[in-house]
Amino acid sequence: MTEPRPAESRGGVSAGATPAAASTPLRSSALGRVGLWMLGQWGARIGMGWVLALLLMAVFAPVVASSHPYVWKVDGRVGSPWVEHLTAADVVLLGSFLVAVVLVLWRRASGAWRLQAWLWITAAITATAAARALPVLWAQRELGQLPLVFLMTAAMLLSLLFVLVVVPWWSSASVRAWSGTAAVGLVLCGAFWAADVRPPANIVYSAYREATAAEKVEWQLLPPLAYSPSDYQRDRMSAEGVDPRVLPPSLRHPFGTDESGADVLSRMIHASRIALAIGLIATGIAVLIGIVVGGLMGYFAGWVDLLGMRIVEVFSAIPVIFLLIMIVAFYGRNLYLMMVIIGITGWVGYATFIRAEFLKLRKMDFVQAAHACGTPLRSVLFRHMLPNGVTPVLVLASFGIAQAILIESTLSFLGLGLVEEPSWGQLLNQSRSAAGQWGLTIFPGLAIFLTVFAYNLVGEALRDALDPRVASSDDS
Amino acid sequence: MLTYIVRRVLLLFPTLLGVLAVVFFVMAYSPGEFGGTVLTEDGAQTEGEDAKRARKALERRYGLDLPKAAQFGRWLNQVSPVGFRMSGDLKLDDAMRAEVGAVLADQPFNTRPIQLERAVDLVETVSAYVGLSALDAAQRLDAALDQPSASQALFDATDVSLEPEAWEALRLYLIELENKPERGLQRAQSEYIKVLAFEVSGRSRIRFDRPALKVPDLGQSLRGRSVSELLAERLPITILLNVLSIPIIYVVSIAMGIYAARRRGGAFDVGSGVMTLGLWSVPTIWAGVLMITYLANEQYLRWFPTSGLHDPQAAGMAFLPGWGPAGFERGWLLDTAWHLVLPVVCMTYGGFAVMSKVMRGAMLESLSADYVRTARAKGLAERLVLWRHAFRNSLLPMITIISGVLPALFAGTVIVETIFSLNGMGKLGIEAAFQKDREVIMAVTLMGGLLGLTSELIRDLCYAIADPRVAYD
Amino acid sequence: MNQHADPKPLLQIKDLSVSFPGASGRRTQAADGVHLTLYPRQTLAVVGESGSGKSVSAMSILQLIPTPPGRYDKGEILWHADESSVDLLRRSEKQMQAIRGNQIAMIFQEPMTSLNPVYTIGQQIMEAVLLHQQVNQQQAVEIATSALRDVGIADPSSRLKEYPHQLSGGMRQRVMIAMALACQPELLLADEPTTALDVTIQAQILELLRKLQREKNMSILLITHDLGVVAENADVVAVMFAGRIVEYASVQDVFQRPMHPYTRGLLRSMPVLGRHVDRLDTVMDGATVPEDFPAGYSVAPHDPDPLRVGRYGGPNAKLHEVAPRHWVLCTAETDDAKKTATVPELAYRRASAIAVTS
Repeated sequence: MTEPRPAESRGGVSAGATPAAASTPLRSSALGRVGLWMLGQWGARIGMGWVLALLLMAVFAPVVASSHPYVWKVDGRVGSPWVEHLTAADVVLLGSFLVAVVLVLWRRASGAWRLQAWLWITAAITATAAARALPVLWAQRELGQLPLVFLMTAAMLLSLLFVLVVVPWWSSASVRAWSGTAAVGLVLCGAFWAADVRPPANIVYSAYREATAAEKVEWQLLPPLAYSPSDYQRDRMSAEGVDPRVLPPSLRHPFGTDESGADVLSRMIHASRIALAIGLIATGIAVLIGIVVGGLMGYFAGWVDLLGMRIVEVFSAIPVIFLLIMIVAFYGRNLYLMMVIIGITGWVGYATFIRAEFLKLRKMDFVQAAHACGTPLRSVLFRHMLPNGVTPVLVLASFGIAQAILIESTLSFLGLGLVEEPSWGQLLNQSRSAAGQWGLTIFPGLAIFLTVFAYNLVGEALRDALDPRVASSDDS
Repeated sequence: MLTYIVRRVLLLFPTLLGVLAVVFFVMAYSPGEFGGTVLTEDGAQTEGEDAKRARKALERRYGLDLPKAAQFGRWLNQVSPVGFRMSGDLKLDDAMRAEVGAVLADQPFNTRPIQLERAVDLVETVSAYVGLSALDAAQRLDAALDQPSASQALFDATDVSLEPEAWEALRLYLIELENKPERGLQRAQSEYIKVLAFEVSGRSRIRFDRPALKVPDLGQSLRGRSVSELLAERLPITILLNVLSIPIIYVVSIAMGIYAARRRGGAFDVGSGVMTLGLWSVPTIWAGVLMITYLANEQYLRWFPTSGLHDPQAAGMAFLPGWGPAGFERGWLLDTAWHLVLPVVCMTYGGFAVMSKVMRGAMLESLSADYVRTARAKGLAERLVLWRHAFRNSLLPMITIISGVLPALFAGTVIVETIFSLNGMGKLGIEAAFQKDREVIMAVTLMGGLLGLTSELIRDLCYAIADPRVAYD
Repeated sequence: MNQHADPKPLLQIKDLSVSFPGASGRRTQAADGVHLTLYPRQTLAVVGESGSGKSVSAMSILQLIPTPPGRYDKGEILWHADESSVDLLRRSEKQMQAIRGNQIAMIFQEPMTSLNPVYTIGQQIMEAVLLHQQVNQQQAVEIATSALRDVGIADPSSRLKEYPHQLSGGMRQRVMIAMALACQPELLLADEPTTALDVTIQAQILELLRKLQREKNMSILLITHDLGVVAENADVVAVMFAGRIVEYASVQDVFQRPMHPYTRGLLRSMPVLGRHVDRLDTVMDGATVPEDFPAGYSVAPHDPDPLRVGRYGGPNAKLHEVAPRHWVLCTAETDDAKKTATVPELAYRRASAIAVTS
């Protein structure tokens, strides 16, 4: 048996490790061991590598693919259309990513401090970006849906936080740190939601090409892929006499163009945001509901369990994909709604798992001992039982993320996804009527496959890591 | 055992009720209008007065003016084999219909028998809702139709005050009967009769007399077709897909799982693990699109048909393949099989990963179990040890998993049927969702829920048979 | 009281070595030059702590070690050890199947999991009977019934139709014994048959084994870590440690004149009724391989002619007959001592066992 090393992977763990190790030594070392083991697995490495690449793609999408020149000089003036056209979401993602990089590299502060700093700075960036969008929001006055949208966004971000921060952190985070995080999270929610309201897009992309053709531009610096996802190149028909729709892959459009004339690669890069967000947030919601419901069922047993199991049965008897199709058809196409729904319909697996764990744990001596010491119920549930039962949920969660991505692409494929926003499934759907454009047939599907495969590989490696038979043979 | 089954079946109903309630209320409270796209018989969007009337007709047909919970109760009552009779259920027997027909025989629309039938239907409806005897109603209608104004005629016939729109509908109906004898209108006419039925009956559409046995009715789709008819048409295709897929998934997974477990850590074990995980990650939609584009499309290989379950000429084919005048003829059976290859491949490939992994794990566990060592110590040949002792015990988890497999396959059919244009239940469900067709969605949910719950029942029963440790009282 | 019963040994294990792959690429020696000799109607007890190679040696007799990962490095196992006998390790799988359960049967430690849960006990007993004996179904049922009756199960014919989970642990072990004895084996390998059972049930099962041994003229290779069980049941004792036999002698010699420090430690660590100690002795603190034993000489105080030997362990240590019919693992330093390095072989049986048999 080697001495278990403390986990270094996530911000807060090493910082709070000392008090945590005293209360629940089992878990922190187990997580650390699992993390180390995972890094040694080629499958997990490939999976995590692809997800990381996807994350970078999502963050830097506007940098890589945009019709707006970074900088240009036109009519004697130097300007940056690119910066002018950044959306609030772009600003928030780029800003918080850069801050995160800086904080990760700055190793002198404690992990918990850095995490808090990151949250606050991100909140500030988001609020600034949101401020720009507020007048638009006020002008639109779609206040009827306000509470619903706000609640949904709050639910999503809270559960994202829950999965990313709270679950791995539980035993080490002090109550104050936790409540601070929650407060920041709430601020983030509001701001994020406001930031997403964008002015109606009436950008005329063709203006850039026309300006270039008319030789008004003295010099310009274009992004590597000079097409925005919604640049439908309507000017090409008149300017070049070429129908820009469903063009097969070429040098100019590496993956070709889609049915409306937009560049497929550009749309795919921007669609990685949806894929990532759907996977993480939907699974976060599902895990949150699953842990709460399953924990209550397992802890209280008796009639709570009986009632809960009936609900679980109901939800597991409904074919999820059908329910989703129906809800989307009846409630409209909304990304957030889709995330919430995938989350709401997907919690059953986590709940039954946590329930079984808790039923086992509540009989165990250390829980009985905690009771005997007069520990309050909240503490017994969350500090003593949850950390011991929650680790295997990570396995389910990574398969869940893969499923959520599959479901989103399937819904988009069936024509129930978002209309304007790019999505892999929607691109794949177009390939059905555009047989000659093989770029549409191959690449969006490949992207879905690789992402799902990556998450499945990570899940598989996690499962192996948590399997006592495998783990022990590795240790001894 | 029997009591266990009975109890299990009884417990099935609350869950089914829960499933139906969830789906029903999700629809009932949706902001979008029920049946948002009301279509006429020709599939065109209705407009203006027509739309208003059609809307009204829908409200009446589906009881949309009731409180939402009452709507659900109404639907349940309609579906349940035992329940209160709805007003529309009162039917005249053949003798009575003949009598009524005789009374109305002298009216101008009697030139075509089918229209006389409709008039008799009207009498039937009126007598059912108003409480007149059928002959009485027929005589009053006959007398009233002699009058110049059709609406006045009906007023006299029924003696009931109707809403103006209903009068209008009725008048139009009668004019249609008189002036437009095309066959295509007959369905619309029967629709209007049902509209009338609701108009006349007002809010008391369920007669709370005595609960009685009745024929379960899944209602009517938005386009007016009977839902049970629709299901009867579509369900066999879905069942066919599933019946073909399940054995394939099980046989292949079991074989792969055993082989991998026997050579643990070998090339096949690792290779099949990665391969099935990869297959599992291939989205069905992509696989379908790739197959259609490259294996079925005319531009590439044209090995398989792109869509449908049969060739257009399939109905005229012989059942079995054989040699005809034009050389080899594939016959109906082979034609169907040929059409089914791609959909079944699409439905099965993803299932191998989970199932073979479960089988491999179970096999490894039982191969290292003490009783297998005992069997070896007894002097059993390795083949017998494997099949009689290890394999038998490894099947238990495979039974457990079936309750997850069936619903997953149902979800698979939704996608596969859409991609390959097979008119099965999954496609029906999607179409219904797009049209917001409540009765069809409820029927599909009922079928899906029943499938899911019976699969759990099947699992428990199989388990009880396979594992003597499980005691059911 | 000390008789040589039969001149011809039933089973002879010579210099058996079995290894498994270890953590850092090296192979771990689970059994390392094990010698055991078993005579008809004899009970040979192999004693040692967990992982000392007792079970591996017993499983090797039936070739039940899965290969890979296990590997038979050297040695031979002679069955009916005369000129015509064949090494069991060299036999084919098919030949072994004819021996397993038929001539040599084995019972295991865990009666709870050693029976297949999905078959009735009747099916499981009859499986072996039908395999090894030329009988029909009806006769097999009769054999199984009488086997169950032999092991003291009441109402055997109805018990045949029961499943293992319907029986208690002691009953299941009885069923295991019945299953093993249904084919009248000459040798029974009992791998910790009572470890998982309650103390009262333990006594019953051991008593049953003794009775059946007398009735059926079996030899028993009894593997255990319980010295009490050894003292009551064994004729000859082999003490194992880290894959090697460290002491080999009759039961009286081992208990009254233990010579190897490990054996002494083992005996010392047994609590004695009525004597209060604050802390029980542990066996050789920190010693995990024979090389860890201290150097020293066999100075058994009661031994009139102490043989000068070297360390009690080490790579060159062999079993030396340091006293008459008493073998101890040590290295010999003098030529005289080297001559005493012999393969242990002891046809001793207790008087009580003889008395009942004859």
